[in-house]
Amino acid sequence: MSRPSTLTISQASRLIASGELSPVELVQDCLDVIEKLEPRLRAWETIDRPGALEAARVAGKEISDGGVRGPLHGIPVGLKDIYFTAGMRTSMSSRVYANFIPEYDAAAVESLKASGAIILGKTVTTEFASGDPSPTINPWNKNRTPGGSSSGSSVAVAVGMCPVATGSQTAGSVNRPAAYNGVVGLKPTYGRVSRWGVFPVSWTLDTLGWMTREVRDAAIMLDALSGYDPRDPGSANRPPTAATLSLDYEDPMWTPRIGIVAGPFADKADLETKANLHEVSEALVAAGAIVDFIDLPDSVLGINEAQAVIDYSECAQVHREMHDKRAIDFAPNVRSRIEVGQLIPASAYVQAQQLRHRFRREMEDAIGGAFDALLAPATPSVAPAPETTGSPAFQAPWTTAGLPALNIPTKLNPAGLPLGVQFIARGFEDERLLRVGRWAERTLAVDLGTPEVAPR
Amino acid sequence: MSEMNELERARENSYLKLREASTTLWGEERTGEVESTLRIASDAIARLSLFKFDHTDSPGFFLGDFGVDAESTNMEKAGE
Repeated sequence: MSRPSTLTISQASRLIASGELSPVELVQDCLDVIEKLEPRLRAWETIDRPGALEAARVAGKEISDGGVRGPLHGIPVGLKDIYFTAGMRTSMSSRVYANFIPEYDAAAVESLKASGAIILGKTVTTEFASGDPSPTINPWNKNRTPGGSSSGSSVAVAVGMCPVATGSQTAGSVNRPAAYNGVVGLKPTYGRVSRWGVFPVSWTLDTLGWMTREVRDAAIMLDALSGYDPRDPGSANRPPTAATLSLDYEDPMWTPRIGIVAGPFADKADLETKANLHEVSEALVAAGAIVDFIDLPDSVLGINEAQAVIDYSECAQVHREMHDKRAIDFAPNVRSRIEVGQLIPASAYVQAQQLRHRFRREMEDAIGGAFDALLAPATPSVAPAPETTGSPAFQAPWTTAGLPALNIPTKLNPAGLPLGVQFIARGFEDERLLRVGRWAERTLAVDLGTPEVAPR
Repeated sequence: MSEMNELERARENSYLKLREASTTLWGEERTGEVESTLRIASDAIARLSLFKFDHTDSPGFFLGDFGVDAESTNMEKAGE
């Protein structure tokens, strides 16, 4: 058996169910990796060693007594530090809430606990899941950004600190760090997963997502966390997904129809990224995918601007009261957004909401019945220098439109940095998106391995 | 070419308005410190102002339908 901390959820779950691995052994191995690497990578805000080990002991007992709850039972999870956890510090990686301890769990945390998952602790986010770089280090190269805002979660999964960690995406905060760190990232359709109890950046943009080491694990998480929640006004009245089942019973002869995003949008990618997309599409075609190019509607030319206007306006209102009292305690980028957001005219905010609605409608029509999913570069380039969190330009359109998007790693470039691609599907076709992603993952058969973390 | 000029003019107008509002609310010194964010926002406002919208363009999500699938959104446009 491989070292437990290197296993995927699916692998660990099978071994736990068969009695070959105990949740305590798995959690202890993850804690060992954290202890070894955390001083170099700074991926965690809070690590709950005793709580995690105790929960693992309880899970092990339940499982050995025949009470297996599902594939997450006994699986350790990292939570981005904007997810409220009853009795556990939730700081938003900020000075303002440095010692905040919620009295209740976020809906997503409730669901994870009900599924038997083990909460290892809280991962580092950029302050308030906004644009100021976090202290987290990219494990592939310490001179490159790990991305943001879900930087700690992506790094933790990449190096084997946990097989899954949660994130959130307001522009590109799940799939961009996933791409920079070489892991799978899923941002489901807006409305699929309740955000109740997760500290907001922007109420109408925020979408919860997660990082895993394979697509099937992302499906397991979606099945556990999706479903209607009246406590979140953005929650869609839809039943939970059955994505894992849909993957496991896929017709082995099935091949996807894929639209490759072309035009000015894709032209923002650098040559290396374009070459990677070309290689990937050739491989998919060789394996039987039906591929065509698709030009995005003109509304895409303003969609990232719409995202910025909505993000800044809502961010300003989220933080307005606290900013009035403690402006100097906010990090520079988020403070600027709060202050500039208060200046944006209402008419611009409404135009931004109009454009996103138009873009969503036009994208639904463009994908229509012609494609199972679109294929695009994950990011304009590999991870840049750590002075920024990188560009969200390739994720923000799908976030703003509320469409589901999936990042999968495809290879390491000659400098040893991960490259990836993303798939995008119509709203609420998350299961179809995962089928395409799983098929591509199998076709490409990529294994980036675990990064060798250099000494500081 | 004229489209570019229109965008440039919109950007400049948008920037001047936002800068004035910032100076009034946050003061000259702080306005200088938020300059790059001010530029991003004013450019975004300018770009959006060039799109044509009419009464059928309802705003998305919280200001209109949210969590809505494609069939419903297509129906919304069916009367056009």
